Amino acid sequence: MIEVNKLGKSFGDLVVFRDIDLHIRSGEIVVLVGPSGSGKSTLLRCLNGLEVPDEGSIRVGDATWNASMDASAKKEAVRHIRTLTGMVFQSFNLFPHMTALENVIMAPTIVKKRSKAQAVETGESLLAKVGLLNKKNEYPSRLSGGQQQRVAIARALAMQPQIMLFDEPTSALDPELTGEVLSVMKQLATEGMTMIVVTHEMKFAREVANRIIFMSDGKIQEEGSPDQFFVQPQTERARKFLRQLASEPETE
Amino acid sequence: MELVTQNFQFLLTGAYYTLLITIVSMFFGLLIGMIVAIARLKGNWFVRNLAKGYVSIIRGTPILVQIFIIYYGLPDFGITLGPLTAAFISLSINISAYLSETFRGAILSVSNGQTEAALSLGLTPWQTMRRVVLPQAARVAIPPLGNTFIGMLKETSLVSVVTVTELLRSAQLLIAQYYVAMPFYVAIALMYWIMSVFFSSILNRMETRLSKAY
Ligand SMILES: Nc1ncnc2c1ncn2[C@@H]1O[C@H](COP(=O)(O)OP(=O)(O)OP(=O)(O)O)[C@@H](O)[C@H]1O
Ligand SMILES: [Mg+2]
Repeated sequence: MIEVNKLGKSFGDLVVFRDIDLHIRSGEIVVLVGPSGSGKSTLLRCLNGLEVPDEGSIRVGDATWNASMDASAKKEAVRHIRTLTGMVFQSFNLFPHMTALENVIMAPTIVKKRSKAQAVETGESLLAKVGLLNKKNEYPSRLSGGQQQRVAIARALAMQPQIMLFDEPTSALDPELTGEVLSVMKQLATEGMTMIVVTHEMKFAREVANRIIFMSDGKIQEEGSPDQFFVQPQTERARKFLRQLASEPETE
Repeated sequence: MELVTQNFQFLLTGAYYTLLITIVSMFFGLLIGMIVAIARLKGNWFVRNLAKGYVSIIRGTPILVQIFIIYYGLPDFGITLGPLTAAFISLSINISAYLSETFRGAILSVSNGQTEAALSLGLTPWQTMRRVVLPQAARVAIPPLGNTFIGMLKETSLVSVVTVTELLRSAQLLIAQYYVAMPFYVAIALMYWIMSVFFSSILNRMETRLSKAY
């Protein structure tokens, strides 16, 4: 489903990561963890074309991007990849000048040229799925953070992506609101959605992930099943990371 | 007072030209200003600096000089414009430089996350601009735009120097005819004021409408 080869990205002199190889199968749920600044967000953003890698290649479904393509081919590849991936941001980024429903139906009508009626029908069913059909006419400013994030998930799903990318979707939320977002994500997981999730919610990672990938110092240090990773981390860096997490529970 | 009522029709014609010049210049000013703002934000090095130079020159020179250059200067290059056309062009250009700064600030005030969310949904950069960034920027820009517009209404009086018979020049012509100044000046002051108040209230209404989501 996703195949990343020898991916590298730097900002000026700062090498964020190098030689990243990643294979994700359809239906797999991968949780990406690592210390702050280790490049998790940057990697996710590369998979969605929000950041342009310097080297390597990315294949998502039948779309391929690689660093040696010419500019117009890259542009086309990014466009194609974006139609296959949905992205959920830490800060929700709902469009404040549109109601919940308008947020959800905008991209399908503009990008996929769906009729308004058709988009509304799908949009309403997605809002129902995240439990917010009754809020469809509210503007984001009148929704709680958890509700906003659920609308943002519905908005991404409206484009019928094959893969969902989540970048710390609950980090900006009060602890009592994280649950409602996580349960929507769990539901997606049980429906077979392919997902890559950056999160500090280790309980979620343990319960839902098929695989944990641990990134640090610009590399994938280790990966394995949640049981392997949490019980028997292979590298000293991972052990240190887990110790730190344990010593500051519930901080995001 | 009687003189004013007798010549009211003439003053109204002047007011009509004042309005016409304001609205036409504002319209083209908005258009050019938007293009300049986008050029400054999204253009390559050359386009960015071209736009920056344009804004700097226009803002750094008196509007009267700009009007004179367009009306009296351009004929040296074989371009002769009627007074009204010269007024439209010089004021549109002048206002566009100020508006482009307003737009630029307003566009920059929309968080980058908005652009990223739109792009990640598959919108093109242009669709993102039109559907997501500009509507939010408009809300930020409306109050300063309103001020510019009202300022424009008053600045049109400057084009009386190139014999456009707008409101100020209408009064001056009447004064030359009757040798009394005060009633005419007071009358046009009132007319300027009424137009300003009228437009302020329209702009207030637009502002309320645009901010209903917040
Ligand atoms: N646009 C940018 N320009 C310059 N440097 C950047 C940019 N974006 C990220 N970086 C740097 O790249 C490194 C990786 O950042 P990234 O946001 O991917 O880390 P992260 O693993 O997501 O961290 P966190 O857990 O804090 O979100 C950091 O050192 C960051 O400062
Ligand atoms: Mg991050």
